[in-house]
Amino acid sequence: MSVARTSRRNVAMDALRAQVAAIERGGVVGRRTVSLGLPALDATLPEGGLALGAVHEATGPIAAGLVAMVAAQLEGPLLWCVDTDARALLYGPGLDALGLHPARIVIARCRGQTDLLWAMEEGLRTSALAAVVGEPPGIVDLTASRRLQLAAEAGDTLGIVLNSEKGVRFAASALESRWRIDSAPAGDMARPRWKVVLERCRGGIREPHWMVERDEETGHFAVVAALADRPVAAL
Amino acid sequence: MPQTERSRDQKTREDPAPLIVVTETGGRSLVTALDREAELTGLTMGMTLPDARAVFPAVVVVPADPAADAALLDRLVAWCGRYTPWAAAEGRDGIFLDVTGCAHLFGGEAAMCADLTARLESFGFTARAALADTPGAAWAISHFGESGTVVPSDETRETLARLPVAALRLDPATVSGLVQVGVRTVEALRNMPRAPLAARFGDVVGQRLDQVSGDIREPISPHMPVVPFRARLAFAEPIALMADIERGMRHLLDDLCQQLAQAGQGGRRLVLTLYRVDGDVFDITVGAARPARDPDRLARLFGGRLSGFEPAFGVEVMTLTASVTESMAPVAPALSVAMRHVTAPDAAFCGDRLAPLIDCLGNRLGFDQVVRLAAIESHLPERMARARPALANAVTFAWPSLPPRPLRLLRRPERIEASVPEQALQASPERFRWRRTDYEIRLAEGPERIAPEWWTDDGAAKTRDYWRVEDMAGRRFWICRHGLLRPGESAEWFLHGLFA
Repeated sequence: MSVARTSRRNVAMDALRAQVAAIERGGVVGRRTVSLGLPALDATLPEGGLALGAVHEATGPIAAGLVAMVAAQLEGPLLWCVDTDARALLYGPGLDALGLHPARIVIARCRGQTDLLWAMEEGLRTSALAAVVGEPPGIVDLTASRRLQLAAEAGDTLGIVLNSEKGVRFAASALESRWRIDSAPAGDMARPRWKVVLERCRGGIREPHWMVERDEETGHFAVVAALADRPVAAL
Repeated sequence: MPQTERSRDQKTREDPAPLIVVTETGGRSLVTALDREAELTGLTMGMTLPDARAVFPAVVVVPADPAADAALLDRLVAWCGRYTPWAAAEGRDGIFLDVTGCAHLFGGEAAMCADLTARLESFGFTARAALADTPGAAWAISHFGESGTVVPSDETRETLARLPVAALRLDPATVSGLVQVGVRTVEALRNMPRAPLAARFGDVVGQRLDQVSGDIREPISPHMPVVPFRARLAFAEPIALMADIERGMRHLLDDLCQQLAQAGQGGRRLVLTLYRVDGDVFDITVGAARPARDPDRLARLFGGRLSGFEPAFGVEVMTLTASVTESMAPVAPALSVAMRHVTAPDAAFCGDRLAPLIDCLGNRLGFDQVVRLAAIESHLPERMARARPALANAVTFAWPSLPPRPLRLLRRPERIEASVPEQALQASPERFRWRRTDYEIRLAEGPERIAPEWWTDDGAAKTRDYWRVEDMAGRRFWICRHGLLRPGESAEWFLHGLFA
């Protein structure tokens, strides 16, 4: 008897949750999503995967790792917007090694923040791309993040803003989710480990984190251990 | 039917005081240009500055600036593009226009001449124009005849007969030489036997005579290369509304794209030229990564650039040219999709669908800034990937199978202080210092030896041994030892790349 009541309550709760989620997304329901290739991560996301037609943010030294995880699940070309003054340049064989084949990556070398955000918007608006990646040199303010989000919705394209430097620079942002990817000591050289934290997600659970391992031989990702649920600062 | 037009001197201000331009030659200051007021006060070309001051003490003197004059003349030549694409500067102050087949657009030859001089006068120039069968004849009449003269084909000879020999574009020494021997008019010169003339004054006299009569062709090299794909639109009244200008551009694009389609060509670079009513000429150039002749797509490329244009008092003429074209096969859309799967090695990369985006990015960032990283045959890490235009053909993205490479390469390898254990000098370092931070290595993989390319390097390059290392926090670096290890020498270490 009590079981039936609980399940009925759950159904009601789920319906309410879906309604709230729809309101939060401005009435957009049933968006397409892309799997991260890892069921444990997908399950935490409210829509069962990374929402397309939205811009996500990745911080930390391995921020580009999010691109590698997503790109393995998507087909089609990527636009990668970089700043001409960046100290390190994207490297073809390195992209290849991460499973990002250079043939499918168009790199737009932009002079400064304005050009870079413009290029990202243009890329997000066309539906010819699988994803748009951007590494803005400065802070993306609320207005800029909202513009990116609107462009992504218009083109139904996935956007990823990379922020490899330390420190949170998107205090208030209209982006869909924020990930933090740090390096972690690996078991051996052929299996690098990343500590993946979902720092913020609209309608998602607060700060789940995982230890993800990448097999360089096969290019597959695997969750080796869900980290204990403690504050990020303590890690 | 060339036409010579002579602009004398830009009137720099509204001041009615006489104005002269003075050039320093051989320690003397000579008057090389003067305005109408100065002419009326009795000043003449070639006077020295003190003489001019004596004639009219309040004269305004401006030093000559040949570079600025030439630039101004160039702009005028560009402006003359509204009449004909065949316009060229002549000397210091003249412009030749080949108006064959153009005059009817302006209501006939005489009307065109009048229109040209009137417009130049309205800009503040003193202009004299003449239209004749040959450039030489037109020059002669514009300089020594009545301005606005249109010489009918059969009267060229008679019209020129009475003109002085200076009308033949001869240098002053030749002219004074001819005058000394009593040859004052073109007719008199024409009646002279050619051989003694050539012996005394050189071939140039005979050549000029033949050029005037048309016996020697004197082609006009146009200011701009004449392009086969060109559309032109003139407005009865100048238009100043952006919406109208955009509509005009759209009209031109439709016209030009039709021309391109008929020739099986696509535009790679298009130039929209706007002739403003105040005489300024504006060019807007757009490029396309792939030949294009879709008016909608090209209109979008121009759209963004046009917003920066200030119409001021209006635009009277617009032209659109395809300055760079490439053959473009008319392929049915369905077939092109099928062909792509056969020809494109990277099927996931939809170049055709991406072309509009790459055009859009390329026009703002530069086409060399929208790239893909292609493989180059080299085994030096910094050489094996090169940025190529995103839609470039004949590039490969296949590197030979390599040990894992870093995602990012530093612009230049950066020197690090590495400490290698004494007992194992061939091993990787235990710790290193980079950008004032210490890193302790817990895992290392290597060495991978990369030898210099002796066939391209100058011999100074050294063998490099690369290690992939991981520090205590799991960060991964690509470091290398530069040069072979020799006893008694300390090795140089560099950091070259960062993983993920």
